[in-house]
Amino acid sequence: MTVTSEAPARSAKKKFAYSSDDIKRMLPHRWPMLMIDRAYDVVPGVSGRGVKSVSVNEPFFAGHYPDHSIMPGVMIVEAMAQLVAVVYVAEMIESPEPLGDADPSASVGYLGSISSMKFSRLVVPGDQLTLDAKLGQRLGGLRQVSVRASVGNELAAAGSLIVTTGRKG
Amino acid sequence: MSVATFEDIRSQAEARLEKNMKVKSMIIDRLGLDVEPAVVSDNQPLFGRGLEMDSLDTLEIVVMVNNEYDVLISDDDFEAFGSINALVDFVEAREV
Repeated sequence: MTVTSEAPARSAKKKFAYSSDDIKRMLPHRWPMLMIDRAYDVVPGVSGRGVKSVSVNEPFFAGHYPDHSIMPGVMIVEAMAQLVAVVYVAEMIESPEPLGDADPSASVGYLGSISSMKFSRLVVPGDQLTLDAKLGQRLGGLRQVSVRASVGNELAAAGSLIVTTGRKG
Repeated sequence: MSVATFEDIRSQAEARLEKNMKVKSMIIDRLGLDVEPAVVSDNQPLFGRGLEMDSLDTLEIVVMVNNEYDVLISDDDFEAFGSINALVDFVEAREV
């Protein structure tokens, strides 16, 4: 967990970066469903960016489709949602209060709604998805988030999700 | 203290009806409800037997109201979701 910005006046503005090993401590997901390789520019509880490198060895390419490899749109959404979970869990692990024995990955919630999502480009083996998430308004245990995924300068998908904060729904 | 004329009151009432209708249309559009705005009454409950909204829909409304009117609805403001009238009352009391 590396602090990437110059020590700012307010800790809330600090940006963090997480390696795949860090992310495995933050999320309960594992192969073949761990869909984020790295996270950076993470402002805990606020926003973050992430990377998902798409390899021809991804298990979903075996069937989607056998002769025409395309990353399923729902897997792009899953990668976005996992970045949201990293931003959310970062708030917990970067908080000055000690976590104790608590496992932060156990607090990762669920996807509540894919409120809107537009896919504007095919994602194929060799592409590197740059993911972007901004947490928006909350109400009770729900939080609205704006997400996008791009490959280089090209937008691949963008939209709005609702996630649960924690597992009580 | 000035006294409102009949014309003033009538134009205020018309503006309010128009706003209620706009909010109904926005909710129906945002939530993809299969209902005409005109058949939703101003005092119909938004939850349960009314528009059958759930907690996910409620957050969609919170985002919609914030985008459209720059008014923030928080966890403590559950009175805003009583009905269309309650929601518009809430917005009118807070919008700039």
